[in-house]
Amino acid sequence: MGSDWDPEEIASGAKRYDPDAFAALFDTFFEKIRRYAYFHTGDESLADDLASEVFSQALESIDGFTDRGGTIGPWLYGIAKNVVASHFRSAAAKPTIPLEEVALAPSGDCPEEDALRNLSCEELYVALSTLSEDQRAILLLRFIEGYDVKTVAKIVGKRPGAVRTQQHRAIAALRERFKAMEDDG
Amino acid sequence: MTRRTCESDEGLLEALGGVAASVPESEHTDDIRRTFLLKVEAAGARASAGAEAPSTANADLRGRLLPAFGAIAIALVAALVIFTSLGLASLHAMPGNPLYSVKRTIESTRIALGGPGAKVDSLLEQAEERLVELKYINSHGMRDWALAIASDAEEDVREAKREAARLGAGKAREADKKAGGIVVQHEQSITDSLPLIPEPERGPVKQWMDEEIKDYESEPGSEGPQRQAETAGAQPRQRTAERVVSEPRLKDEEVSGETRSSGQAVAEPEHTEQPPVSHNIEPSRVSPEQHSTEDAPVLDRTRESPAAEGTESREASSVPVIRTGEDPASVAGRAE
Repeated sequence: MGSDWDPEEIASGAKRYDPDAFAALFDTFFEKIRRYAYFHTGDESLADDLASEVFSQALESIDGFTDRGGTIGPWLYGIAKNVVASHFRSAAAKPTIPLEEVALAPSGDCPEEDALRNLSCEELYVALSTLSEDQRAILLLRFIEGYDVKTVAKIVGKRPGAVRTQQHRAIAALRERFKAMEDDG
Repeated sequence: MTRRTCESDEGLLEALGGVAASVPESEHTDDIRRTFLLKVEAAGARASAGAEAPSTANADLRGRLLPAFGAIAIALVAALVIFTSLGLASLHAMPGNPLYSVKRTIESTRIALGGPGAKVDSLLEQAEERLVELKYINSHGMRDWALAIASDAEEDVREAKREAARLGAGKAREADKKAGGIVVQHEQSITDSLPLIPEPERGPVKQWMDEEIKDYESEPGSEGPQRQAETAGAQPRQRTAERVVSEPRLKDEEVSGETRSSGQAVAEPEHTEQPPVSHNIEPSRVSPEQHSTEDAPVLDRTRESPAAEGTESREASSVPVIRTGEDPASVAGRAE
């Protein structure tokens, strides 16, 4: 589901509690936020709940939001990051699936890449779950949601340099995992 | 189609995005949407009611807040004293120092509070500070910090340029020139940091540095050394990373008389390995640290023989040596 509204229109409408603007906000971002939550939790119904919570919190705090030119998306992801972190704090433990369960792909010129291409969503979650929460958030925001380093830095509350460092480490860790799996297989 | 190698992150990330996009949509989206929009309506109604509420509520609130005002004021003053002390102490904190994050917070606050024009200058100053820190990082082999600090410098420069572009073409040109000057000035630090930066990020950092230097040197009026050398028909200068021959430190003729008389133009002709060439840097942009640590021979590049430019072994007679307290103009005459 999508929306014809641009982020700035959504922001100004939402500030006035315009239901259409909130509907557009939901249509534009719900699936994305849910996907973000899914890759943190590995549970589809939990992702539904967390995404729903993100929108409830957005509604409660819309008065405090100041749009700086299409920043409502990053703002929403900032809430999502907190909601996910809060979930892990209250749950005290996150679901873990042994990485060995991740399916291996036939080797090609780049085995890690081939392995990744053949993963299911669940398996990708498993692979991502080996990363730190920040690294996971950065990878998801950078390469799945397509935000630039600066925007991701604002969402995760880190400096751009730190985001790049974390991103590099996350990729290196993923690559290492897939390589090890390929070697073992 | 070009075959990628595993050394590149591109394929891995593309694959990551592809798998991630295949997450099935929720079956409960419509229910969640409906519930959410009901909450929106309720919140909208509450907001309207709040806006129309009589002002007596505000009066009650004022009555409760006034006694608390004194305590808040005292707390604010105490916080101000603490933060000022911390701020002063953190002024020269380097990465790894416990006060370093205080320093960064103060910088961010200064940028957030500054007007658009001041923001450009603050960002460039901040970028320069990062590059000074990079030198410290290099000298201490702080591998964990190199990428973060180099990237922050790059980001600050880019942000300053974006901000300047919003203020008009004049300001943008000025910011480009300043930014290029800063990068040129710290070229050695950036180059030295490259081995400390992880491989996939090393290229982008070097590329950024090269672009800044190139832009700076092609800027009309900047008369960078590259430009001067080309104008004189000499070989283009070598990059710091590629320079293998000791070369006396040169200084452009734009250096003010005040700087010249301050004793910076002191030659140390006995050095066999010299620091990198500094190009066209305004005296005000040269940090105190550099004055103390890069006290290399300073010569007037514009007066050296074009034939000597870029050659591996410079004839001693073609290199005018400036002695302490000597007027560079007279040195030039002596050289001729």
